[in-house]
Amino acid sequence: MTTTELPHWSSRPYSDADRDAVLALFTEADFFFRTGDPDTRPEWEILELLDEDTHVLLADGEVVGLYAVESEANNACHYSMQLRLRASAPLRWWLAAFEELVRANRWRREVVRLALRFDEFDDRGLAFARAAGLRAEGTLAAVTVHDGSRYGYVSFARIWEPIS
Amino acid sequence: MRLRGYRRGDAHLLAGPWLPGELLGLPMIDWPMLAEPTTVPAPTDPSQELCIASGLGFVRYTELDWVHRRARVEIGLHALHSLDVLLKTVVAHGFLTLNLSRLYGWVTPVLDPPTGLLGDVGFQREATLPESAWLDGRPVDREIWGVVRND
Repeated sequence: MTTTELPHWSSRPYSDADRDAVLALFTEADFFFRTGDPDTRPEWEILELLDEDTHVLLADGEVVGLYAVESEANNACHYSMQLRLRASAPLRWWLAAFEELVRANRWRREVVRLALRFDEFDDRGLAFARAAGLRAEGTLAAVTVHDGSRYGYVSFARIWEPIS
Repeated sequence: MRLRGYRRGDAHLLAGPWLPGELLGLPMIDWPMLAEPTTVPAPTDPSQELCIASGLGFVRYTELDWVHRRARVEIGLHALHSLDVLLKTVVAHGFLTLNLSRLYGWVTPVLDPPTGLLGDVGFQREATLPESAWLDGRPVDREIWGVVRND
């Protein structure tokens, strides 16, 4: 381990072999990956949240989160990312994993806009987005209900200069 | 207490000696040994919200109407402790997590259910349905108990 004490990252597309580890992530009440109520979702619903874009994120070989990168526009180099690490992962893991994902996603293709959004009640997601220096683009209000109150989501993005 | 999502390992909790559809399904001690247990289907689609109360049993929100924000509640218990806490949790989950505004269910007076506990969390008796269930060789009355969110 280096002095920065960051784990070695790896990932693979989600498959049935990761099912138990992934279901365990969703027992955390704030594992907001495509849902605002992870711990009360039944197994079938969690499995429906995992599509072919969904990857498990491993730190030193252990499943610690999920991510998915989706194309938003065929010819505009516009992508969106969903990223979630388990509650025990510190903020610097989020930041490090995100930068590695950005590097990997720009390795063989141009990315001009990478969009992420987090619910207003998602303290860890918002803390990550702000610490990562993402451009805060505004809040779409009153989108969802969580724990008896109404919340919106906050849009963030990182934008690179297009090559042409 | 917090309800948790269903996993396939919870399947054994979905069958037991309760009257089908009972709002507060407590195990009936005189259930005939050779009578089929009551079974609810495992959640596989959005037609129901079925959660597990750890160590107790299942809580099922069915006949869900997301437009009018109401559901019929069924509870099936294998253990009998913490009923008051469970009922509070069931109402809070329905109102706050699922954002429903009305919960209701069937209560069968002949089973001598603890209706005081239902009343403590806001349920009220709304109607009597004469001879609406069959039990122990005869028709028995059932009641509808409901609670409405006022916030």
